[in-house]
Amino acid sequence: MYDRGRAAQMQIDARTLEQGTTIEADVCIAGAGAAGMTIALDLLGSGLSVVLLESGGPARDDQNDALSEGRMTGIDTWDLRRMRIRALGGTTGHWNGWCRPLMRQDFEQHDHIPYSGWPLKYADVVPWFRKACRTLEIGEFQWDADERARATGKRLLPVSDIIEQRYYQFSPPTRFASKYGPVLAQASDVRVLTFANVVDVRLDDSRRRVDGFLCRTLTGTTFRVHAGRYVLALGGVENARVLLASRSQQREGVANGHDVVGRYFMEHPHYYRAIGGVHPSALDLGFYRRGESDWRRPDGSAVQMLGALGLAAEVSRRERLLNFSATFQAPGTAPSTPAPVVEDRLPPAAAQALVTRGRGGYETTLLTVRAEQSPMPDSRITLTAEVDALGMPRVALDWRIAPEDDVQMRRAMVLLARELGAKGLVRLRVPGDATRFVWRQDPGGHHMGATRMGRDPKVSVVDVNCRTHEVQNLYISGASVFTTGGDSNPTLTVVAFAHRLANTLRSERRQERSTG
Amino acid sequence: MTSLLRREFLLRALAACGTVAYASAGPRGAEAAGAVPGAARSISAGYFGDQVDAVRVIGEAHLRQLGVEAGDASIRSAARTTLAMIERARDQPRAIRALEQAVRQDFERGRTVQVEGWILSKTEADLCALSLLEDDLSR
Ligand SMILES: Cc1cc2nc3c(=O)[nH]c(=O)nc-3n(C[C@H](O)[C@H](O)[C@H](O)COP(=O)(O)OP(=O)(O)OC[C@H]3O[C@@H](n4cnc5c(N)ncnc54)[C@H](O)[C@@H]3O)c2cc1C
Repeated sequence: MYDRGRAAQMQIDARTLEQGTTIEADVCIAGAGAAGMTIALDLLGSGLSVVLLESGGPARDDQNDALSEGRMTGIDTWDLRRMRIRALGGTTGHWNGWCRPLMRQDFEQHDHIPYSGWPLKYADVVPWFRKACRTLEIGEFQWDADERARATGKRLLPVSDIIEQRYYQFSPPTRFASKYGPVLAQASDVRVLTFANVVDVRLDDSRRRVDGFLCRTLTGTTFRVHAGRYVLALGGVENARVLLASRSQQREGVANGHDVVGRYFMEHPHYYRAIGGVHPSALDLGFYRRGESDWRRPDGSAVQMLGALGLAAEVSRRERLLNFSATFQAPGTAPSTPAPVVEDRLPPAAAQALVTRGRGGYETTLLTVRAEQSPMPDSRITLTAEVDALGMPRVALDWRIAPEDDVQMRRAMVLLARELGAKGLVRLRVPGDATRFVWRQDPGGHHMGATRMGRDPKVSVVDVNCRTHEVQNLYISGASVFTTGGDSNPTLTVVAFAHRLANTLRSERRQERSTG
Repeated sequence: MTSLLRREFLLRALAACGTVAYASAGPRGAEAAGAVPGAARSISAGYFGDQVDAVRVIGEAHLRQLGVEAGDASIRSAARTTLAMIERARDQPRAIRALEQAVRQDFERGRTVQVEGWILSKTEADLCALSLLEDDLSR
């Protein structure tokens, strides 16, 4: 048995544990990224003893990152190994800090988005979003573009109310390892075990409760964690991978009685370099260029923001469209992807003739559109026959986008183009079937949906409290619980749900205490 | 507008745009055909200012997309609504104002076409096509 006293106030390298050690705790959290660290921080002082297991160490290293290797069998995205970081702090070691919450309409059920509709409302999450803003060191939870433009003295484009003005806030970006690692390392009620990989979720005889996490290090040490409650916070792909790979007792893995784990995988398709705009150079795009807002962090530094355009919720609903947000690319920041730019067909001078009609200069700007995709059961993570250095099966990620999504996005872009055209602001060039423009669908490194939330166990893995439908003391945290992905970058929502889950764990503990 | 007024307007428009010499804007096409001349190319030039060369590319692409062969008659037929609007106007400023309004309304009401990917108002795509007319006076 592992000595709790020795563990207190320590970050422990699991490679130094004795073979076959069992560690006891009230709560075991696997994964020390944004989600796992947030939960651990919130449980400080709760009276719960916590073990936080992290696959990597304090710094990124090749051997650990190699554990994340996987095959892309669908839309070819970035490579899975490079994208994710297996070290303390997880992928926040290189995230870019773009923050926006999922929107009210993203939580709702829409006939035109199959499998949509979260089992809770936006309003239920707002208190947790507020808390997440502080965790991610952005400004207030306030997303009214009119107010923000007024406060910052910037001008919104004069478009009608079919367009919704939005904006992003930027986290510094918060690196969880350096920001919160020291707090956890000092805590007496949290033990952080580094180089500790969960390789099997072991169930008790009833198969309704987790009996322990089986863990392994790359040096061959095997140990077990036994806890009252277990949280998987391994990132959007690994959450599904570990559940699927935990098949020592059940062929289908854990929490997968309905073959849902790994399905409904979603990304945020980023439509780059195809959507070009021409506008008078006099057009004031200040609100839509990344710049300082009036919010200050405690250290006095300014929170940056960036304006964006989307369709009003009402219009998306009426026109049966997915959500998206379009940003104007700042001059000189074009991504280094190979597709041609605006000039490839009609010279911009031609488009200029339409907007400026010979009265003044013009600029060409590319729009980046971050889009929602509809959940599809066939967009999925499965296990392959290949194994990693720990003997864990590697994943195949078959990311798919429904052809209808593409059609919807084109229609949405036409609506945006019409609105900007009507106001004489910008002429947009949008990929069209006839022109076969390159319509790049790049991912954002946002891995959502593979253990989705819902009421119906036939199409979801976790319930409204992020608890798996099938295993009573097993919870999941991270973007894999997203029912739908909206278009907002996920981390603010991931952290909000992590705060909410920590609160659930605390109140369950309180209830247990009061009932003796 | 009487045909005399129209002719006067046309001649002034042409002179203002400088695209066709005043003297050469004789009554050949219009009166020979016994109809009111269009002046569409000139109005197009007036609308686009000094950018008219640039918009010809759009005009060509638009016609290509419609499957319309280049040629005055087919251009006029493809752009007949816009042509009619030009003809209803009394003078060039009014024609241009009407066109500006039509372009705005096209965008608002979804009367757009996609030319080489660019989302354009139907009226402005027509105007681009009209800039390709060989003979501004023939109908
Ligand atoms: C290049 C890039 C840029 C991004 N930029 C943004 C952005 O600007 N805005 C935004 O909102 N989001 C962004 N993201 C997404 C963001 O990084 C994630 O949403 C966030 O990190 C998710 O947190 P997480 O805790 O769920 O997963 P992670 O941060 O990936 O943490 C998971 C942790 O689990 C550990 N782990 C994995 N498997 C095991 C195992 N078997 N046992 C033990 N531990 C394990 C990992 O080592 C890791 O530390 C970006 C992502 C990428 C790739």
